[in-house]
Amino acid sequence: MKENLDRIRLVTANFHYLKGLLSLPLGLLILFSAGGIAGWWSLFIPGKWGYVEGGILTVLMGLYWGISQFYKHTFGRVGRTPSPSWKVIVLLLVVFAAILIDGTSNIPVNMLGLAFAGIYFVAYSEWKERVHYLVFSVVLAVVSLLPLLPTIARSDALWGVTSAAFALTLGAGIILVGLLDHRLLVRALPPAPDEDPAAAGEAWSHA
Amino acid sequence: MPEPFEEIAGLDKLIHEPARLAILTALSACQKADFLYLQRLTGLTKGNLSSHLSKLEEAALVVISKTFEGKKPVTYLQLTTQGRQAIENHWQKLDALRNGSETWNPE
Repeated sequence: MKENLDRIRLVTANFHYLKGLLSLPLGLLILFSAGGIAGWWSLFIPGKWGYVEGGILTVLMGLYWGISQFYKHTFGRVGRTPSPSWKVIVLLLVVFAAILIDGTSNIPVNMLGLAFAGIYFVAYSEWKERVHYLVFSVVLAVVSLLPLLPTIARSDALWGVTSAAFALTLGAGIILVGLLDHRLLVRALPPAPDEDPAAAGEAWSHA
Repeated sequence: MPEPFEEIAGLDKLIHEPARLAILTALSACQKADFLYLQRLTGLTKGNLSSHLSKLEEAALVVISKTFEGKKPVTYLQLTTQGRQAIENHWQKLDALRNGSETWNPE
């Protein structure tokens, strides 16, 4: 019983993170950027680039809205307890510092990738059922450290490939982790026995 | 020092009932949750969940509020201060009980 109740507590506390399909638009956006870094899009979409970017952003925002509606009407709503502000501050500082180091120094590693690897590892350590967070953390760390390899460090062309590979890994990883989070949510919240979402709020008038 | 089975008798039955304990545990991990979420989480029918929530509301452990989002009615459940305190005390008692039973010597 204790284990079930602990799980109930974890699922509720992490409900917003388990709505993994919401990360699809971000993952797709990063994949799209990876294609840009690799120069793929200039082969297929010459000219009027701004319209294409604007269109893609609009579609992704629409997708995000649609997915959030789906979650609201299928799994319900949970008002989260405000995170301790120090956690948010530390998270923002880590990401900001990583971006700053990447942009201003010649350190041959991807600091932003390492920062994300660290964040996913901490998230895994808080709830070890999410093994995919650990796997993603390790993969990100490895890809972020790839430029340390002498062959890559010496070659400008390979350096570009590594940047695209990092963006591809990040985008694909965010999508995959999101799908696995969604699967965890579906398993934790199976359909209710007599569920009619539209009528759920009315149950009280008959109670 | 009370023996473990004596402490079991001291547990609040209103809270210790499995479905209500699950509801209160869920609500203790968030600010509020709606009826649909609790129904999926506990696997209860609407009628059963309503019945349990009514008992918790009568005991002033939860507050029920109804709003409309667009044209859809949404029922939110939230722990009262008293409810939050009660579930935390209950968990402490359960943990103490478990620890006590592990070290209990009937001799």
